Amino acid sequence: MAGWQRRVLTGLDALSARRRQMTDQLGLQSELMELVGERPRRLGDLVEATSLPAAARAYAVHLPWHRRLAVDLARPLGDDSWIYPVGRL
Amino acid sequence: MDGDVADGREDVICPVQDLSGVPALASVPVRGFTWRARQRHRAGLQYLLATGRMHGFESLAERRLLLALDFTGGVEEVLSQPFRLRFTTADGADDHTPDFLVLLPGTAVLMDVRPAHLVKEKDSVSSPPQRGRHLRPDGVTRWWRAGSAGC
Repeated sequence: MAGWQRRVLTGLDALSARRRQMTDQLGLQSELMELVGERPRRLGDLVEATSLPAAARAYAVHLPWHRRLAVDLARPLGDDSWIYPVGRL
Repeated sequence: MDGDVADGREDVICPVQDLSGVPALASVPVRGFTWRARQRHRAGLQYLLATGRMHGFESLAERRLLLALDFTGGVEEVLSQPFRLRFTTADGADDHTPDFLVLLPGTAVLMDVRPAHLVKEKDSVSSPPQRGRHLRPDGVTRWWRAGSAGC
């Protein structure tokens, strides 16, 4: 039996869009890490809890690719996805 | 190890057991990765963050594998179609070009990618002994530690 679940590939594709190195002059990566460090949050709620949600979403997608935040790719990736601290999925 | 010069490039020919001595990083893909309208397979180039450059693929299944490899991290190098394997069976001479040679820390993995429904029984002829790792994600229908193949 061979094959990925389609949503895994879709999730990987979405994360890959923000995999390149990004500058973070507003410190949004630290904000996201601290918020998730308190407790796991849904992606939509996490982004809204930052000081600049419009920009924070890109970093919220960037960090799981680099293993600084964790997300369960077995579930469809979206605003309802739970974002976890690394090592506590 | 023999070499034939053609078009300014040198073909390196060696037994499988001597593959580890071949300068793989200086090689070029066996085939190109061009694509045109109405072509049945989708070839192209995929960027890998791990290597910082583009890598050729010949199908969307191969492209997905490259993306997954990039996500796994730890990939040191990926060579598309690294060499042509020529061999003889009871049915005569044949050859096979593996899709990828993936260099990981301390090891190398040869990968062939094909949708499961396109895998035929005769494909096992060009596969080395199934020792070591043998996983089947997506269209990766056979891969093995390069050590098993003598790389």
